[in-house]
Amino acid sequence: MTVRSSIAVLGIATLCSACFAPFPHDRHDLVDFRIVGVQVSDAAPEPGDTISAKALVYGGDGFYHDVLPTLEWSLGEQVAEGPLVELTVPDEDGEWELHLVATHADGLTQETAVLPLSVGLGLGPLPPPELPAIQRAVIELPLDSDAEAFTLEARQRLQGEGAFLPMADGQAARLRLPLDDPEGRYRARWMSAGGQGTFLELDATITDWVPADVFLDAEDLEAEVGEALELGLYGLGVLVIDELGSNAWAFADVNWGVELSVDSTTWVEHRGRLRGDPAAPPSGLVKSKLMRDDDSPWGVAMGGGNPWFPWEHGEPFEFAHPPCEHPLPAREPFDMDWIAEGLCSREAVIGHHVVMRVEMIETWNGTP
Amino acid sequence: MIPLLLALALAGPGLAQDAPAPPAAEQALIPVEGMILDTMGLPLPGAWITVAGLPQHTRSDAQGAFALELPATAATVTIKVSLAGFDERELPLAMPPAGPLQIVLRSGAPGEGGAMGEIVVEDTQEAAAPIQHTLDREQVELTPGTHSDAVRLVQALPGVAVTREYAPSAGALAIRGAGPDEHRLYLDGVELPYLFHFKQFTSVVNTGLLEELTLYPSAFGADNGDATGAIVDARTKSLTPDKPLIGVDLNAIMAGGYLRTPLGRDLFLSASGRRSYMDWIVGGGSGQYTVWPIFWDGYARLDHVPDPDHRTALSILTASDRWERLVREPEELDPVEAADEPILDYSHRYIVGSLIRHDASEDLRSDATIAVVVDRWPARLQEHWQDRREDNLQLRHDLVWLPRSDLHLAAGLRGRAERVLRQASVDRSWPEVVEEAPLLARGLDVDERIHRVRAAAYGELRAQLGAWRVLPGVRVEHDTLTGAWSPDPRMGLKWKATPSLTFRAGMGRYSQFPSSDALSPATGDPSLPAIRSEQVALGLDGVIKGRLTLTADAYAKQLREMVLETPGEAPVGGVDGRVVGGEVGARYRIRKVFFFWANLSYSHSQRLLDDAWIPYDWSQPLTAGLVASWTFLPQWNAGLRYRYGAGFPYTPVVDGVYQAAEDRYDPLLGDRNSATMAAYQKVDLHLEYRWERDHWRGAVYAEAWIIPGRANEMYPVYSYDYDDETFVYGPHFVPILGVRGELY
Repeated sequence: MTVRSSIAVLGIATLCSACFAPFPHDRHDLVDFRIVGVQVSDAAPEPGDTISAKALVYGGDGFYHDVLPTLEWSLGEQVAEGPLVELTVPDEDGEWELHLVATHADGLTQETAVLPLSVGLGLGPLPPPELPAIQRAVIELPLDSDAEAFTLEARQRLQGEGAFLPMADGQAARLRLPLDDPEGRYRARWMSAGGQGTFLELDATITDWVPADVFLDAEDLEAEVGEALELGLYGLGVLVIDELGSNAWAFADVNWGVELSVDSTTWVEHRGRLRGDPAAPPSGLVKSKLMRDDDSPWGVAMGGGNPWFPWEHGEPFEFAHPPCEHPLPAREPFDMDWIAEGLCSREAVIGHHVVMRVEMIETWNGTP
Repeated sequence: MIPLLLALALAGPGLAQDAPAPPAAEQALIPVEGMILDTMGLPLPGAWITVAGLPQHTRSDAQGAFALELPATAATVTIKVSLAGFDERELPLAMPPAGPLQIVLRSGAPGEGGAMGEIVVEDTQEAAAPIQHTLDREQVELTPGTHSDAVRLVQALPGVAVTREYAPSAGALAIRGAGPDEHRLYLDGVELPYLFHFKQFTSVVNTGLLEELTLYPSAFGADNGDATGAIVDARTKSLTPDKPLIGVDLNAIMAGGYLRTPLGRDLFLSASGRRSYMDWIVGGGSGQYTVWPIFWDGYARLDHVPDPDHRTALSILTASDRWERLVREPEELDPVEAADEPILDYSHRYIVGSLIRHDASEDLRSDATIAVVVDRWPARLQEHWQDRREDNLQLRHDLVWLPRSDLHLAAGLRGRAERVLRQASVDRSWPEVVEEAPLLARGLDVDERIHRVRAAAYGELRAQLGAWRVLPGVRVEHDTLTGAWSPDPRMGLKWKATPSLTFRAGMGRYSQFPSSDALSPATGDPSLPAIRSEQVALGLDGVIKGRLTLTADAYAKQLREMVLETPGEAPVGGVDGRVVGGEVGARYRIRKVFFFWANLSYSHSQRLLDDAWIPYDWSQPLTAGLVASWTFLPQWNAGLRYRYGAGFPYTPVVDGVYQAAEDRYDPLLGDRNSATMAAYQKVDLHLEYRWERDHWRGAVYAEAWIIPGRANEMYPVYSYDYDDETFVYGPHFVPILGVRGELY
């Protein structure tokens, strides 16, 4: 009887067995010229319908463009150009694709996007969802926590508090898009201007935002946490998709340790959701002069604002808008989305007074 | 076809009856005794002792002793003694002998004689085919970086592409500009569904079972076909242990054992099995994917060996791989996405049962194989699934008639009947799983059965005309699925210009039928014709001072009607190709003390696409290798291996198209194979200390692999929007400690 045995011990004395340096940016980070979203008025139209289409294009430095990009649309044989176009749906039933080519003002940088349209297939109509105000809370999540604290399970156990106060050291922001979505059709895709901070999503519509770069190794459950961001306001965006073509987007600012008020000279948020006094009425208008601010994701800041005054949406009122490159609705207060969606370049609005809508910040207790 | 082959296979034993042996019973017999010894005077058990022209045979016992009864009336008889690892001897014996015989065997030189316990492939000068390469067991065990895996050592031969450790293609064989799909890999004449676990780990064949491993890199003879690339022909041992033996192997990834035992005078059993085990220790993974893949293989073989010339083996080989993973890379996913991400459950397993019969007489040799292969390849992803099942029957029979010592006639038949069942139920495409589940990747609902029969016959003349060896042959193949016939003429030449200089040449036409998947009406193109290739290879061997062998080879191939099969895509047919290349090498060897080889290969492999010649996927223009192993003290051995391989071409992703409904990007591919990976370099070091005591011996060894700089690029990866590219790198430094022990 012969017994033979051998033992080989394979020791991997390397930092990794098969690895690559992580890319500096992921899909949460808005850093380069990029099509962030495409929206049509109906993603499942009938043949011959007329639909409108627009896009959210990140300019590279923020949700603005000093010179507007060129947006070229095509649907079947039809072509159109501009930030907001109307297109006639082809007469033939079936799956169609709406193509968009966005060309940066440098004439060289191009991004392409495709949005499917289900024409005459009985799925529609599929209009974009109406997005409610983004709710926010702060949670206790110190940056020096161990990796376990950043896991999905650990964060689901955290509760927070309403974020009227700035997010302080040791805290992270928790954002929720409270969609009326009983079928779980929609999913929020969070992004930050400049790729600042880290999103750690909690479910389809809730995310945590940590004011530092956090890298989680899924295999080893290790976390690498970088230096905390400088105190300030950080602009976040959220894209809502249903994978059928019903897309919408919204924005929110996160206040990382800065005291602000309506009268602040720093732009707080767009579309009027300024941080306000809890005792103030829930909505109204404010008039302010827009000033250049390269640090703001919108490229502009309020150059001092007048006190708000009451106004309800739909009330007849003629607003004097800046001379933008494309027509603006005269009966709507100025909307910063018009900058983000390419109706106005930043150069067109700087130095002009605008009247914008303000609202109270929505908060909740941070419970998922 | 099948009955004929079966008849030929079963007719084997009758060949021995044709041998011109006088009926022993009519003769007076006298006992003859003796000992079989090695050059140190130590007894050699298990040696076969046969007598030319007579049926008598026996084996030496544990003390090396043997006894025979020989005809008393014969003036002389010729005794033939053979033992694995030793030179065979033929001794004329005057009758009656004066006393007990003492027969000394010398350790076998490389390329001489079959060898149990050795992988022996003939040296190119002595090889039967003009264009072939050789390996042996000593080289497998002592070459750093092969981890005693003979098939991996093939990757060190000239003309074989240098692949990257840890890469998905680590186990791929790309030979003389041909990709893995262009080769045929045989174990005892049976084509296996796959050779490496997960295409990169250990080969499914236990090295200890192999006797001979031959690589025909191109321009091979008429006895092989249905391939435009290379032939890898592995042969297992006919194991005839004289006592039970149990072995255990354990390494960091898998554990296994083997058994060899006699079951009777002529009946022997051998079995082995291995399984990966880390999943039992650390669990299957992080809950997101399988960190430690699960694989196992097993082999059992029953040998009936009444004498060395008449052997029958019944064997079963099985292998299984299983793997689970998230569809997308975890690094790409948010925690909440990872929790929701579907998991792909993929496995690939097969079982091969075969019956092998070998018969030999003075003027006829017969080898017949019949095998059944059941190959399963299922994958499941949520409610989507695919299943590919192939059952095939393989038949093979080779006859060599040896009417004169300088004239051999070879003929043979091949048959393969297969049924392929392909099913998939899926309602969207999953491009992320293209390697494991190509039908799911394409999102195709498929339910089809493909039946095909391939058959071939060949004849080859093997004549020695003075210094010339001439091997003309022809092979005819037919495939029922394509309806194609392929009469392929072949020619091999060897000219021994001087005792130390040999010129070699091989040429011919070669055919290969597209795979059943490529011919599928559902996912491929049933109109694809047979692939044709004309090939020529030239070489020379020079031997300096009896030990330093210098070789030089050049080859060219022309390919027509190639099929480019890219996983997850419909095959592209009608592609022309061309390959030219050359190899130079040097070998020096002092058996059991020192061996060295170095080679340099150039290869230029292209395909014609859209009227432009582009590099082929497996084109590696320059490779170089160096291996040295030195037993500098009786207990100490040190080894070094260096490999260089130019970068493989690949098709880069040049941009991403944003899919706005799903908020993701689809890759936009650049020109095919328009980018090239970085060159690869690897150094392996080996240091071993061995000792031996009365009833045990052991060895402790250390190995290390070193891959400098950024040479270990495995494959490219891209940022979420495909704007940025980087590479996944394998480890740059890996130390390996090992211990071997034997009790006897």
